[in-house]
Amino acid sequence: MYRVMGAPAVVWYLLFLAAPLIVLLVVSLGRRSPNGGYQPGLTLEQYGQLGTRWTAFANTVELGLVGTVVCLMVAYPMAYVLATRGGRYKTILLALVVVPFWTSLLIRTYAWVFLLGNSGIPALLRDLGIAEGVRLLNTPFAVVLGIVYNYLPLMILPIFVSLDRIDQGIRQASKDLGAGPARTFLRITLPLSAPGIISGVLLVFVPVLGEYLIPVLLGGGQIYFLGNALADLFFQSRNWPFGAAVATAFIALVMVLIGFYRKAASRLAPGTEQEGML
Amino acid sequence: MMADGSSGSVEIRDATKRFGGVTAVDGVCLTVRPGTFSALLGPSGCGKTTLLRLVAGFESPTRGSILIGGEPMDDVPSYRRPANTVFQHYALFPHMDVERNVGYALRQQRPRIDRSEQRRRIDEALELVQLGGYGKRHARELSGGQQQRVALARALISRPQVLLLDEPLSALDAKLRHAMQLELKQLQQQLGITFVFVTHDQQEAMSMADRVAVMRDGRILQEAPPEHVYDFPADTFVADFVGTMNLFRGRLVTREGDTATVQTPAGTKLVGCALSHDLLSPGQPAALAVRPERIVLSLGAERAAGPSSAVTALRAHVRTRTFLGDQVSYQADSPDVGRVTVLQARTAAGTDGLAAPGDQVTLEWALDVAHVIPDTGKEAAEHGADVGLNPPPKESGR
Repeated sequence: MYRVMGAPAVVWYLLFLAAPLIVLLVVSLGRRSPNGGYQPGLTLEQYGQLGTRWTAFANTVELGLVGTVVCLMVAYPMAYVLATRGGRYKTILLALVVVPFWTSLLIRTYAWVFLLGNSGIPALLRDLGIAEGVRLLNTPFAVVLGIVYNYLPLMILPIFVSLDRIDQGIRQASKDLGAGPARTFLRITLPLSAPGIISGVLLVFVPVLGEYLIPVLLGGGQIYFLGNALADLFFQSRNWPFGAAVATAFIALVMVLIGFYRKAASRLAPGTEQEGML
Repeated sequence: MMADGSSGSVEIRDATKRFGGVTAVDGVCLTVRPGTFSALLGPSGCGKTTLLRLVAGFESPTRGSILIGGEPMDDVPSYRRPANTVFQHYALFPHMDVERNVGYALRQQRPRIDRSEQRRRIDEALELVQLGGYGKRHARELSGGQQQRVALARALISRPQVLLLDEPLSALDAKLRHAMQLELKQLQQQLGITFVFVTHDQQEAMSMADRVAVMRDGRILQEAPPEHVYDFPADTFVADFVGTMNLFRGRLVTREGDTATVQTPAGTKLVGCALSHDLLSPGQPAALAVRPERIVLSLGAERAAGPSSAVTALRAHVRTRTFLGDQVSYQADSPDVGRVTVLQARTAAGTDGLAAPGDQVTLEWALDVAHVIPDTGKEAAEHGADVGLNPPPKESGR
């Protein structure tokens, strides 16, 4: 019975996880054929030129980290207020956080192109006489803003759940035993919401690393993410083996990062391995 | 901290707490003397937990004030009050082991208490609740009773003036509850800390407390030693809530000093002692209250005590007899007053000399065991029907 029930999962993993990864690995060991695409081979020379895409690696990890941290800093207070002050409107307010997600990512991000563009917020600032010649679009700021805006719900939801789960009595017990609001937050609320923070950070950081659309629209080709580098390699220069090598190296990097992160997280909040997502 | 005689006292001065349109605590005045064990007793929703939370500082009164150790607590937040709480569901910190839970209050104190002193006091507190050696265990590995002890040690470690207990035993099974009642009482006497204990279980309140405050609808109906509450209940609600009581309801006919007469709807006039100051106007609802164990039941129509004006005698016939081990309980019907419950000590083996269902009997009681008290309404009677055996459901978190 279990064998039958398990079959779809096995097929899925083979077809959509194992097979593509193997193809990726094989291609990354080949050569670019003279007019683009793939030519079989068994060489590590593609991995040798990974350094030429260093900027894309660095950009991705740096802006991914900054975006995730800013996201956390915006999401935590929001989740905290929702969970502790939401009262009977809690669920409605939470749903409102998710509502923007019902529009497609492309449209949401495009809206920001207009807002940040020269006839958007910079024009408003100029007309109000606050600042002249402000450039917002095509800056790292715009990319981080796009990341925070688009990934915020993914951060808020798990943090909200972990905060909402904390029994009100536990906070009261802390205050009763002599800890003021600040110490109660640091000693009780924050550690008990750690599983939510850990999940939220992974839920945001990992997909942000693969982000393509936000750097294109809000970074205007100036801020180059790995996703953009890959798109170029596959579709412009048609250097499949090198693209595959970059992708493989990137997957390895993400796995290492997550490994370190989980280790650090389990030390910070013991017992969260089972509860946290991923 | 304070050396004067008021350390450990709790004074509630005309405290009222409203939540929106609901008045949870309604003009309560209560003084708890230092070093005593007080119980706030009442059915769910009577405001007893809210009253406790006012003392703890989790709620602030809409009107009135709270004093602990003689000091006004109006602007003192819960983390600066010399009172600690044992919560109904323990509220142990799930991310800490037993030791860190128990030592929490010590780590909050400034100036800091050094490590070895903390260590010593944690061990001492764990010994106090008989959990020595459990320090490294995790809260979730402990049984309910053990978690309860951890909560107790955690609240006591900083030696508060007052310990507030919010139905701490309600989640335990009956046997463990009885054991913990004894232990709490001993602990209180040993430490000399003032305990204020909230419960809906009258047996629990009676067995532990030096003084019991019976609450209903946000007010304290009676505040007295448990024996006094049992023997001289203030009104029909208290009479019914505490133990089993025969209540013969009717209207007040006369009141002369310490005696009063009640007339039942059937026309029977019953005489009893009257202590209440609220029982003055003829015609007001009143009841004669007699404890089942105070009624003498004898077979046939003859009176055991002989004719006397100091004794009330009624004819009745037995409907049921229930064997209770050391006692026998009867339900008897009297044409004059209706259903009467009688409790008789068993002095001999077997059923010799006991009345059987259908028997004609005479019920007698002395004037001084019958009390005329104000009748506060039917709902009390309905409530009292199952009190004792089936305590009402737990009070909500309000």
